[in-house]
Amino acid sequence: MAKRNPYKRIRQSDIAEALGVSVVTVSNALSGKKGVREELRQRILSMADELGYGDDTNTDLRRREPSASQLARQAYRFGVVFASDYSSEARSSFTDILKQWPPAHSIALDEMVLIDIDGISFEDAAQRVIERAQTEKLDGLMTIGVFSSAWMQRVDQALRLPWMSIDGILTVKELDSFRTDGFRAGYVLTEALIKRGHDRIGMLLDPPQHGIAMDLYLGFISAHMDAELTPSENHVHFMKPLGGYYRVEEALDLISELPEAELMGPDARTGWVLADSSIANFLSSELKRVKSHYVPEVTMLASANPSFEYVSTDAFHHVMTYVIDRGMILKNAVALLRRRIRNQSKAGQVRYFTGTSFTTFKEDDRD
Amino acid sequence: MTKVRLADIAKALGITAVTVSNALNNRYGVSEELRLQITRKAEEMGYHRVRPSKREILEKLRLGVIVPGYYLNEPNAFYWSFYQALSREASNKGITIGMEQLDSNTLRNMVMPKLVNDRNCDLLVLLGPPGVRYLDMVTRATRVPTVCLDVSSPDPKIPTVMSANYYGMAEMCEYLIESGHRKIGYLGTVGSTASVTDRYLGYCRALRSHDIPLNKEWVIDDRKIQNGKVIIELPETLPTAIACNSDRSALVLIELLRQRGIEVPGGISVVSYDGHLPGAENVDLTTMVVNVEEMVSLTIQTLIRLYEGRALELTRFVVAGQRHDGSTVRILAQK
Repeated sequence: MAKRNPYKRIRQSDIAEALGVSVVTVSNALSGKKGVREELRQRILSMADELGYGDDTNTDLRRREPSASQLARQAYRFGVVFASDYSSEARSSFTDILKQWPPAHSIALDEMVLIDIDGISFEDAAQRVIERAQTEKLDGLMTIGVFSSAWMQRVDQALRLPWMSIDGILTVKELDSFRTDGFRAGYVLTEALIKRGHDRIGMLLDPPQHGIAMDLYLGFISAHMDAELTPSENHVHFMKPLGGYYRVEEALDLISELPEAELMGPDARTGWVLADSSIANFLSSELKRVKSHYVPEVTMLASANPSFEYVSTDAFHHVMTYVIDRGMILKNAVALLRRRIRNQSKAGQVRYFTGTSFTTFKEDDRD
Repeated sequence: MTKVRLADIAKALGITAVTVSNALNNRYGVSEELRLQITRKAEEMGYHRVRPSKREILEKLRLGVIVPGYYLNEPNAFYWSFYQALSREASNKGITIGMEQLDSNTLRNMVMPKLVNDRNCDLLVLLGPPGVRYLDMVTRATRVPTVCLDVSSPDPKIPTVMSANYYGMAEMCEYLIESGHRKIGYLGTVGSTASVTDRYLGYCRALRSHDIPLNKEWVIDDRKIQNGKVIIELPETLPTAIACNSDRSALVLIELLRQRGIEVPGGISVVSYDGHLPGAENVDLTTMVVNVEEMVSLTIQTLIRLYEGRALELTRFVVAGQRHDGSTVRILAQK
């Protein structure tokens, strides 16, 4: 048999071309599916034979290197480090998705090893991660949320694994990072209310140290600047959760300070930008509890992961959500981490993800 | 016309289809002479490859770049880096590239760019902000895959590739704070462009994250023009560090400080943004280097995906840069 170029593997399309038939026909014939005339099937099989289809004896060089589709199927094991935290919905929804990894239609079946370091000391947490990484032979690490650079360095020095940070805030040269673009989200959420005619807009956020709260706030300011409105900074509240429950006294203070609280009733044209659905539920339940007549309009960030979302909206007369598809962020983050493991991407890529769509969750029937 | 198949060519030459296939696909096993014979015969008979390769498709494409002329006024203007990278990336893929610069009359009178009107490009890049109304007009009129590069697209269906202005400047200011500075100013006219404003907000973010109050006196304009020259009015009390919205304005500031007898970084530290000012007049600015390569790569990839009719998961790409540690920052205290 003639020597063949080892880098030109015979494909089904080559057979198709040789016979002037479609690739689908060739594929069906080779896999024994019905629908191909016996005579044609025989011709396809002979051509396949002649061309050397599936014959790897002349492709020694190729054998040493996995093909692109083999690489795509290679499964890795990743450690996912997080601190289970009631006040961060974002972090919880990421971990929920990772607990059910891989998603449907994935080619590679990567395994996620979840490592919870909630409530344990710096050194114990570092030890826990290092031990698990070593015993379970992890190929890479993902951290969800904010971790100090000292802690990350401690772990990195012991493990030297490819590392992907999700919603972290530090920029370290070799670290790849995917972050939610809170600034853009804050802008879009505020702009939506401004477009609907509100000029006094309040905001309820997670505590400022939590990743995107500060960015949401500055996005809120940015939207006001573009619309030439003065932001009412008195109505921006960073929540202070305690053990996962919001303190009652603060809630009452909060409602008494609501913008235009004197304009009770469904005609109050004031809006609120809410960081997430748990904050929305909090506001909703507080308004109901004090039997308020105040029925605001709200915009909020939502996740595309429906298992997480339960939002009680009866206290609001119009709700719009800006959806951040966290499943997609993770898919892209994992793909980048996989390329890092194969040394196919440049170190230290940082990408910001924004929402993908704005949906009206609850329509104002008076509009 | 009936399609010419490999078997037909084979028959015409009295050889097997296998040989023809090997010859046309450039495989070993066919003598050079025979290969030439076969390719000539194939051409003669009007044989077309069943499926054009991706490269062949791309080589027929023309990419048009529309950019406001004022961004390219100087030979070392930042946007030339974008155009250079676009050229390189396009030619790597075999795509032809052409640029149209919009002069101030065109922009003011809302004249449609020729590249859009004459419909002579297959892919379009809108580089840099040409003004809100103008951008709106062009994005509504375009009929080919279009991407907005370094400008925010008003149409959610037209992708945007942006530099992380807000986050990048926040990072530069965080660096100043980590180096012990707490009296930090910002050089840039807030509201002049989206980039300048976003960078200002990044500066605000860094201050707020560390509970440092904002001193309005230290937010300095850099667009006041007097007798054709840019005037920067320094405040009475000076901060210990100034974050500048761009490398160009940083250089102007440094010169101004020098004239006042203030050394950089000895007297005042300076950080800036862009990172593409070649040879920057002997000053090694500590700056945020915009990742032009990645932004351009994303732009071209996205255009090709749109051209192929593939759905886009994301239509907004915000790309972070990398801090370059130059010599314009003095470390006051290590944190």
